[in-house]
This record gives sequence, structure tokens and C-alpha cells, in this order.
Amino acid sequence: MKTAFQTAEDIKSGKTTAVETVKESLAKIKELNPKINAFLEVFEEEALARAAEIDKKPNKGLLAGVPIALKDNILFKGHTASCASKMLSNYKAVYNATVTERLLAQDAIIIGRTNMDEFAMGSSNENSAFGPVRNPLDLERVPGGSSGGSTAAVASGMVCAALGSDTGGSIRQPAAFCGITGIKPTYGRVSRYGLVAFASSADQIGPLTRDVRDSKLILSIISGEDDRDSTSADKPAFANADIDAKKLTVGIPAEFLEGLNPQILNAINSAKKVLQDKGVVFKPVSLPNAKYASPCYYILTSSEASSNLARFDGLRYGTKDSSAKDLEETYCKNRANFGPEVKRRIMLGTFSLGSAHAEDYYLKAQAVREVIREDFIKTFKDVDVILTPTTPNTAFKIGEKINDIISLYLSDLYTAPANIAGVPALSVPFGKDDKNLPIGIQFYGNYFEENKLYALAKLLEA
Amino acid sequence: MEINIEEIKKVAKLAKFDITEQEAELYTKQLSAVLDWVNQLKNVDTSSVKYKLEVAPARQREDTPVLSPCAKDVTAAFNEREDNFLKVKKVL
Repeated sequence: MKTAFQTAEDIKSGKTTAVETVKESLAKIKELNPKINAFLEVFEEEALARAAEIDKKPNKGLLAGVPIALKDNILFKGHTASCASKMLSNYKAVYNATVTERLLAQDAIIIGRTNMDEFAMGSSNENSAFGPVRNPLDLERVPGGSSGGSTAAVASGMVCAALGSDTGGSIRQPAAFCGITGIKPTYGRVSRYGLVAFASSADQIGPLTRDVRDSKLILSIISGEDDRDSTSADKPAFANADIDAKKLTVGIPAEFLEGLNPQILNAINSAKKVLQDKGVVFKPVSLPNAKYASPCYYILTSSEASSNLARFDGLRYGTKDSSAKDLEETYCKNRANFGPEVKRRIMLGTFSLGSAHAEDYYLKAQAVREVIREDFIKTFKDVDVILTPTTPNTAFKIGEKINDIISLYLSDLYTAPANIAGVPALSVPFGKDDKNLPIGIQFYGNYFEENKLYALAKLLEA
Repeated sequence: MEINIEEIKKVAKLAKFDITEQEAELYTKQLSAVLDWVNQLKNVDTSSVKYKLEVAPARQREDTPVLSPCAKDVTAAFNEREDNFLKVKKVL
């Protein structure tokens, strides 16, 4: 598939049609999805019917006829949104998420819903109740997570672009593992209305795309204030304009390079060289507390999840156990249907919020969050952008880390700081390791300065 | 920090899901390891930190009553219902 931008241009100029484009996408899904398991459901007939309508429209939108996939935690009216969980296996959305509404208003075609780690908890996509997703570049390996299905769908060319959600790295880490571009926008930049909540203070929706131009285009469409999300920022939509990257100063925090995989370190150094050759100025910076973002993230997001997921009692949707004798027992039997990772996190959150431990865990993590946030605010007084690796390693093998919880949690080491501080961060593919697996370079920006990340990412792409 | 199996069972009860004895043993081991790892947060000096539990200024909208456009669709999807209500087991 071509990029979203090119596809819409070709359809608008009459070079191709929306129907042809959707057919191409569906054929690719039929061919590849049995191996990759990126899609949980494809809306075939509906997509074709909508494409035919769009072909007839005289004035077409910015994403005219572009096949786009939605992560299974983003609501699309009348369609299942299961969060890859048995608990919501038969839940059908009764309204559209704001992002869905905004994509549809630009004539995009929602082609299906994609697999993910259950309730967006995981970094390998092995936590789905509907089977793992495989990395299209090497079927033995994970695509990353939790937006593994959306990422694999884009990386394998089944769709032009997809939406994912990122609470601790769930867009950027899979983007790095599969060699595509992914951004977690500033917290509040994109409305969370219609995104099933995991950790409300960190969740953010963002695009997964084949290039930087598509990422900008889609962010400009889905962002902007929304009265239906109380944490939506009082800011206009992201303006899709270019800025001059050569005027930007960039810092690489030394702490992010300590003990780093040498091949990823090489990629960081070559990226630095490319940017320097193009006139970008580098300055030394330090983020001494960023290494605490990952444990801080697990306490805070698990605490929020234990509260957010309390609503799933299995009475309304999902598999229901009728053998229970009363309501309490019904809850306990139904909720046993959560997968093991979701149970672990709900338990960690329940423990961290308990009166005996809240001071040492939840409240301590809140204070650490503030320290990390201050580190970023201070650093962005010296530089425009921070450059880091996206992940500690390239894509690992399916099953390799499933029994090593801490090692899996450390996948978020370089990405979680963005969610903890609320700043935007973008991963762009740059180079490969000796196994020919892609490496992701990450740019962190100050609040609402996604345009600077895009300007630098564009230089690495060229 | 060590968390023992009794605490794990208590936490599961508070979180309202059944766990088997086997699961309880596994989660005891796993959550003890996770707590050991997160205990590094104690190394951060937070004595001078002022923080709020609210992370972003909440938007407010006009308080005007509207009918929910999808109440019927919501209840129609329930596993068991009577009229427009969710049917549950007796509470007491």
C-alpha cells in the first residue's frame, strides 16, 4: 500500500478509486492476516460500500478512501470493541470515539479492528485473549505492544495507516520493532473520548504510519479540543506546517546510553551525525531521574487501571457465569476471565492504593512523577528536543520473555518517561541490527511541540 | 519487598476476582519481584516535591440537561435485562 497522503491524492486526482484501494487492502489482509493475526475483525462489505460512496462524492476529504485500522480499544459505532479481552468479547460500541468521528469526517475508511495486548497492558502483544500478533518482518518475533496489531497491519502493507494508543510506549515500541513511524502526542492533544480507559492520566491516542508526512497529516486531523474529554487541552488542532529543523538544538541524555545495546548505540551515533551534518546543534543534557519512570509508571498506571477496570463486572457484556449464588460471587467468577497480565496489574494497583501501602507506593510514585516532570521542564529550557533510543533491544522472539515479567516491563524503559511527564515523543525507524531487524530512534519534545519532533524525524528519513 | 500468599488472596478478594491456589502462588512470586523492582523509587528524594493528584486542568462544559442518545442501545446489549434495566442476582 502507498502512504495515506499519496493514496488520498491518487483517489482525488482520479488516478485510482476508493473501491480499488479498499479491494487492494482487503486482498492483502486475506493473504497476510492468517499468518500475522493483526486484525481481529475486518469490516469488508461495509468498507466497500463506503468506498463506492466516497468515489461518488464531488468534494473529498483529506483522507479520501484511505484504508485505516483502529486498535480494538477505540470505539467505532455499531462495531465490536473488545480490547482483545474475553470480558468485552461481545461489546458493541454505541457511539464513535472523537478520533473515529474525525477520521470519518475526512472520508477515511475504517477497514477493521486490530489485535492488541488485553486492555493495552503489555509490550509484546502476547497478552491478547485472541492469540499473539506476529512481527511481519520475522514471524518468529513479537511486533511489540500493546498496539501490535495496528503496527503490524501498517508495516505489512495491509492498510495505509492505523491508530494506536500509548500509555507507556504502546505506539512507539511496536513502531520501533516493526520499522514504522509512531507518535505519542502531548497528553491532552488528542481526545480520549471513546478510548477504553486503561490509565487515564497517561493514555493518549496517536497514529502509526509509513512515514512522517502521514503521521503529521493524521495528527492534524484527530487532534484538537473536545468538550467530551475533560483532560482535552484548550489548544487548536496540531497545525500541519513545516519548521526549519536546522535551527533546533538537540540533547542526548547520557543516562539513556548507559549499558545500551551496542548496535542501538551505533544507530544513535549515526543519527546524531546525520543531524549534525544537516546543521542541527547538539548540547549535553541530563535527565537523572528518567530511569525511575518505568517503575513509577507501573505503580501509577496499575493503580488507575484497578479503578478503571472495576466497571467490568461481566454482567453487561462478556462471558457470564450463571452458577453463582449471589451478586458478589457473580462478580468474582466473571472477573476471573481477565487474562493473567491484567490480573497482575489490577492486583498491583489494588495493593499500591491500599491504606497500608499507599504512602510507600502510590503517593511516592506520584511524587517521583513530579520530579521526572521537573527534569523535563528544566531540560527543555536548554534544548528544543531530546534524542534517545526507543527501545533497549530490537524485536525479541515470541515466548522469549513471557516468564520474565521484569524484563518485559523494562521494554518501556525509554518510552515511559514521556507518559509520566505528559510530553510528546516520536519513534522513527533508523538503521537495522545484525539480524536485519529495525531500530527506532526516539525524539522527545516540549509540551505541544510535536512539530519539532517531526522536523528532525524528517531529516532522518531523507 | 516480600508479599505473602495471604496478602495476595486478600488483594484478589478486594479486586473481586477468584484465583486458584496455583495462581495465588504464581502471583505471590511475580508481584514480590515487581515490588522489589519498584522499591528503587525510595532512592528518589521527594522531600521538597509539591504535587497535586490531578494532572491536568479539567475542562468544564455548560451544565445543560440532554437525553442520552444511546441509552436504548446500551441496555439492548446486556446479557440479561428486563425492560430497560440490567438484571442481576440478588444482592443480599
